[in-house]
Amino acid sequence: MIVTNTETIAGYRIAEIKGLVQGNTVRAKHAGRDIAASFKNLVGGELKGYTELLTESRRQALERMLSQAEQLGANAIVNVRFTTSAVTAGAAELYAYGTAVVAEPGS
Amino acid sequence: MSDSDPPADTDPKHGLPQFHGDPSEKKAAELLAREREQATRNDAVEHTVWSEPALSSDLAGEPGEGQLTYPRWLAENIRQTTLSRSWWTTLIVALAAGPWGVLGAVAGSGSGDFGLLMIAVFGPVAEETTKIAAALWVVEKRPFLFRSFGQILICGACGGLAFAAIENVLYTQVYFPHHTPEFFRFRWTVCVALHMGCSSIAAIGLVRIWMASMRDLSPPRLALGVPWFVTAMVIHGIYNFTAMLASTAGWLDLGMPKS
Repeated sequence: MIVTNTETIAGYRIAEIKGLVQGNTVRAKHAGRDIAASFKNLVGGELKGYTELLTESRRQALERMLSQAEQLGANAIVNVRFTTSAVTAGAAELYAYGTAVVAEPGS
Repeated sequence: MSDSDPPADTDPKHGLPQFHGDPSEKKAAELLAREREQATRNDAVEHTVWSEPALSSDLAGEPGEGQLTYPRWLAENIRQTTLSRSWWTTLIVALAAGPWGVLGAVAGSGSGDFGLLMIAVFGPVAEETTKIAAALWVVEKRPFLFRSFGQILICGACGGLAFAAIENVLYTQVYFPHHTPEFFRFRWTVCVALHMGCSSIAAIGLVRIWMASMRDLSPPRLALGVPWFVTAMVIHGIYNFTAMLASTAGWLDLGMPKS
């Protein structure tokens, strides 16, 4: 699956547009990681628990978007965007969306 | 550029060898792989592309034979749900509704002292929501577990009854252990009827959501039940306000000492 945040794919032509595909997730760490992060916040540095949280959320949102594209029989997603929201405190909320297409080699 | 400025070639975008990949990527990949293994079709149907309102059949075509769609998932589960499983679900939901409602009401009332607003607005909203929360979850997430609307009404009525019973025990044994017989009778008649009645009204909203979903094999639309939920909350709120007003003004004398 080709995934790109550009509207076109170099070396390919868009043969078919399948539609909008999207994936979203809201994830949280357990209370222990939240407490540890609050202590780490006092001394500074990377809050690794929250880095992991954001990575997990981004990957899961992407996976869900990719799954939707597969269901449509697409082989590429163009114009991919990420956005976040604020549903609840202490959670990472990611939303990924793009346009599922069938791309064929050629220009 | 001064000598104190950092050299541009240390910027991460230049990809110098001293910059390493994010170790959280590997951990996240492993965690998500584990979650994927545990995921069921019930989880997958929530993210199926065929339920997306923005999907155009002109572009996307129709789902193939093996594709997971909400109508197929629902029909398949309706076929597989046995009568005994359905009634066990009803029993569990009916039993859980009351205690869950009390927990919700306690949690809701602990958020601050708003006096009249708490009695007439926040309290009824919290109680009427939590009394039907278990049945609402089933209707929203596993509608196939109910086989008739009567089961939902039973859950609503039983939730109200259990909630009223727990509340009455608290009032007569904990808050007012030296209550009068009039107070006891009032609690076990009027208050029970109120809670059962309001929960049953809210359950009618659940029935409307459930029936539309089962008829059309479509995801539940909560908006169909909202007027009934609001009606239950309003009736409960009006009762609470009236009861408080009547007892304060002396129109409702249950022989209890004034607090």
